[in-house]
Amino acid sequence: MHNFHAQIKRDLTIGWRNRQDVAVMLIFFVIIIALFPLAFGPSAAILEPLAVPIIWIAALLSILAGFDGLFADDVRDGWLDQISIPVVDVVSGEPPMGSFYQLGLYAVAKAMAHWVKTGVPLLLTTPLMAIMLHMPLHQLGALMVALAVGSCSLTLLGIIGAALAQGARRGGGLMALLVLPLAVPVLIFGVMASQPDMSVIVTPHLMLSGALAMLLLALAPPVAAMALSESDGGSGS
Amino acid sequence: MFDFMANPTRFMRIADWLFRPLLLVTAVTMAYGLYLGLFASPPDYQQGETVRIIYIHVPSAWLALFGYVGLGLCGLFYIVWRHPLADIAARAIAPVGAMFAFLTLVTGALWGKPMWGAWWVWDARLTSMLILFFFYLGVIALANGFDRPERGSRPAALLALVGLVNVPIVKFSVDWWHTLHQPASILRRGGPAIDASMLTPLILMLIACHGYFALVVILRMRALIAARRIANIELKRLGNDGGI
Repeated sequence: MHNFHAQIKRDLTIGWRNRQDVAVMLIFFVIIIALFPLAFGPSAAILEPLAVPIIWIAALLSILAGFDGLFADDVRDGWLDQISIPVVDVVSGEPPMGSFYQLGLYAVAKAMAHWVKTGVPLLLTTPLMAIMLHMPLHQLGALMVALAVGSCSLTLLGIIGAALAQGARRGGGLMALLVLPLAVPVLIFGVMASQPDMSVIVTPHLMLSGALAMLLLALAPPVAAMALSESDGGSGS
Repeated sequence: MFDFMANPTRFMRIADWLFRPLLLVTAVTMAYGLYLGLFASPPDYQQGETVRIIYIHVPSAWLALFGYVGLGLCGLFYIVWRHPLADIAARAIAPVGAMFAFLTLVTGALWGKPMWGAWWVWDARLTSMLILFFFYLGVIALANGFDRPERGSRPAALLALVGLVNVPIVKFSVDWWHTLHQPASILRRGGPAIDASMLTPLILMLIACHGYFALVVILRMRALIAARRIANIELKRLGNDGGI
């Protein structure tokens, strides 16, 4: 467990040192949203029903854009090989986990750190975007909750995509091709959860979104561990 | 049986032995099925002659799904049991399944235009079949996306496995979301809802398309195994010449 926290702290520290990357992602988010009124025209009557889907698509694209080469630095400087070595925790005396489990924990730690670095700033920017798109503000609560859940799903999906495409020639575009079909249910249920009929927040759609996030939380560590154990040149497991 | 088939040479021998009977069965069922379907079966009372595209559209859709299940199984065999031929089988199946998915979408559009007046609607089944097509493309792109070809086998197998969740969605989408595409007519409770005069050519075309799928996959696997052998020979030759 110590390693897990250490990995999160490491990623957050590196993220803080490179905090302009988060700014880049946020600017990307804002620009995508700004493109829609520029293309559709400024009329609030057109923009208002489209506001929630536009914000969702922009969130999807900017979260995915941030995953390009997520594991590349760690593979290149040997960090991935380092953490694949099964270690004994001499402090607590627990028996060592296999490298597969360690890689899985590493993937989850990366996901959590990434969500704090990118998902949270995105969520904080959303109310401003909602105002820009003339979204009725009573829907904002549902949108924020649904986006919070959806951004977790998308972060985990990004982990899967980055791990699978690690080392590929056209990594970024390939990752998008892999992740976007998987992101379709997240998008569909997320948008439905953001626009409840009545002013309740917890709807069946939100619960389905949550179920998707849980499913991805179960899937992402083994898939990422299996994909990454190949990329460091070892035979894995 | 799968252990038995793990040896590429033995697989090639079995495949060679199977090939000609399979070719015969496929040719006969396809010829008869097409004859019945395109000429001898009755036109639909509502849709007229355009219903005949069902004899290509439905087998294509079924094979696209079936192909992806096969792809997922190959992925499972590769990841879990490291079956030597699983990777070759996956690379052989993926483009064929993708072609069937594409054919489904195109024949569906050709059917939809005279029938409902639209080339395309964002109906549940059409959309999930489109997503299935994207999954196929993703697996193909990932398998071939690395500088060292064998490096791509494992990620592609993983992606094929992960994409299996889409298969039940495609199959049951017409039940879960009642939109434009008609609900299930064959594999449903209460038995098929189609008359025998149309069911027979449909079943024949299904068998024929399965046979076609198997034939093409066998041909592709032969080619891929041969290509691998050539690559190994080249490597050995480079090694024997003292390398660089």
